[in-house]
Amino acid sequence: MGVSRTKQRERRFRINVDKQSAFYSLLQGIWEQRISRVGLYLLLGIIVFCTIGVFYTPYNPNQTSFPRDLPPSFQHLLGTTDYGQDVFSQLLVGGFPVIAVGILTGLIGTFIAILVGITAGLYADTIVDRILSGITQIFLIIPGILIIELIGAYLGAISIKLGYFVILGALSATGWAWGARVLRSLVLSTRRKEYILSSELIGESKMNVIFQQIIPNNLPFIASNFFFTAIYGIAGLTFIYYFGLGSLTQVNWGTMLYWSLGGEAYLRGLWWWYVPPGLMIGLVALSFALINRGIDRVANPKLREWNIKKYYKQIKENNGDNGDGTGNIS
Amino acid sequence: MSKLIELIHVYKDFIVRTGLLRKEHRPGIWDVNMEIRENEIVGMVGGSGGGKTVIAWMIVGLLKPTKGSIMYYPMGLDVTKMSKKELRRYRADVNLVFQDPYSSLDPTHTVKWHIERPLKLYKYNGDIEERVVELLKEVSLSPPEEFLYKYPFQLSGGQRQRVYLARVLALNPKVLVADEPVSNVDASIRASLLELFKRLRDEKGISIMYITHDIATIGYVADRVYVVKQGRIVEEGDVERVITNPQNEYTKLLTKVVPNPYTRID
Repeated sequence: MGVSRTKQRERRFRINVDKQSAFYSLLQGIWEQRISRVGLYLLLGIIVFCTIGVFYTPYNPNQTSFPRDLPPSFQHLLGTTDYGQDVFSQLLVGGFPVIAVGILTGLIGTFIAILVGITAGLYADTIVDRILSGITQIFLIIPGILIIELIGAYLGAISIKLGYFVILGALSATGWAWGARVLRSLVLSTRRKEYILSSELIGESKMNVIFQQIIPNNLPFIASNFFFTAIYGIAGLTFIYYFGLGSLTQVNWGTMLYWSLGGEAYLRGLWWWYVPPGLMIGLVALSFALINRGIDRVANPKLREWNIKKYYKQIKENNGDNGDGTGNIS
Repeated sequence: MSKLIELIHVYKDFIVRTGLLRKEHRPGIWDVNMEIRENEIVGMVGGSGGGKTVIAWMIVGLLKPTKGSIMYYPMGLDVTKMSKKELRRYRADVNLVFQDPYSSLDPTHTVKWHIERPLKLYKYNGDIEERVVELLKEVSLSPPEEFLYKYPFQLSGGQRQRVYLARVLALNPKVLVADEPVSNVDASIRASLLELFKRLRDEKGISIMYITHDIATIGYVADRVYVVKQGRIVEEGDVERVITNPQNEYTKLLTKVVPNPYTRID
């Protein structure tokens, strides 16, 4: 008996790698959709590309000693700028802040949205909900990027430039409201579901209900909200730098676009200067959109396609392991 | 047969907004006296909108009556005045089976999770997995191992209702309030579920309040019956007496409209 007990415990430990959790099944569902798998590969590629840029670049991206306006060649993979900088090195270096700010905006914004949305939804029709909903409404109306531009222009007048952290804070402060609003209404319908009432009757604590039932049941929305907010973060950051409100000595895809605008690259046909950063931003947004599409398909478990072979294999594995455990009882 | 739960002069009003500022109190439940005794199946029958579900929710403490008290004798307490802790202990004894098996199980969790949660919450000492399998067998889902890792959307309505029953039975309840447990289940499974209720009463001594709109199944399974109409109890008594010799007009109507497979509407 003792042996079987330990075996069972081992097995339980192994299965607890979240195979049954909503998070795992969401990831699995995304992985099974071909569209979102393409998106994941794309995102992974971009992240690897940007991480390489942090550690290694062919040339110093701030160096201005190269000949100007060179078209792409083997020496300069994407040519040089009007100021004599290597575009490829700039592209490598400039990706990391954009991606990092985007993903962090997504994380922080979604976190605030979950916090506010679930609290407001659970305590609907009370003063808590009214205050939180009011705040959400106000933040919903604020046009985030324009406000940041306003602040940036004001600070620019007294020669202070916006840093990454200020922009990150501003973007996530303005990006959470939409998610919170939708999540509140989702929670409002979820908390009246009978399975939540049933958990309440059985004696689950409120925290358990939130983390085990409300969040998993709304996980597809939360995940897609993360990607939407991340797209907003990336677009916002590049927008701000494109208008020259940030520090222009920092190299990222936004400042590259800004300098190409200043160097009139469009008029002079220096396509290797402005196409690569624009294309990269577009690719990141595309990968997020593709993943979002996969999440949409997973969102409804009834629509999910089940791999029958895998399912039977799982049952067989369970039964095989049960050989001396639960199988013995029957 | 001693009493377990007694409803004493219970009233419930609902507040309806009739205008921007005007509110109106509408009586939902009016002076209901009711009792659930040990080791019996009590039926409650009535039309839709008659307040059956409201009474059920008041018994398990999801709704509070406006007036009156609901006594639970094994704990010697009034349900309406219980603290949170006492209510939690009370709900281990008295629990609810929902009407719709399609929404009473969480779609993101497996059958095993549903049954093992109450066991974990009430600190079951012993092997939880064995107990889950045992419970699944008790509600005649066989073979139980096949159901452990299934999700609710892979089960049929009757199977879901059984899984839910197993979840509630994991608490070792004394009283089950079953709110139309078979109305969403197809007719062939209905009888077997009712059989299961009878078996629970006989083998485990669980009292069951069986709520339905269908007086035919009441006759099949219940010992005593309450007839509810628009929030009032219009008739109560022994099942055979009520069905064979109904006194109230409403009860007569209910017994008359039971569909008979041998008659045709012309």
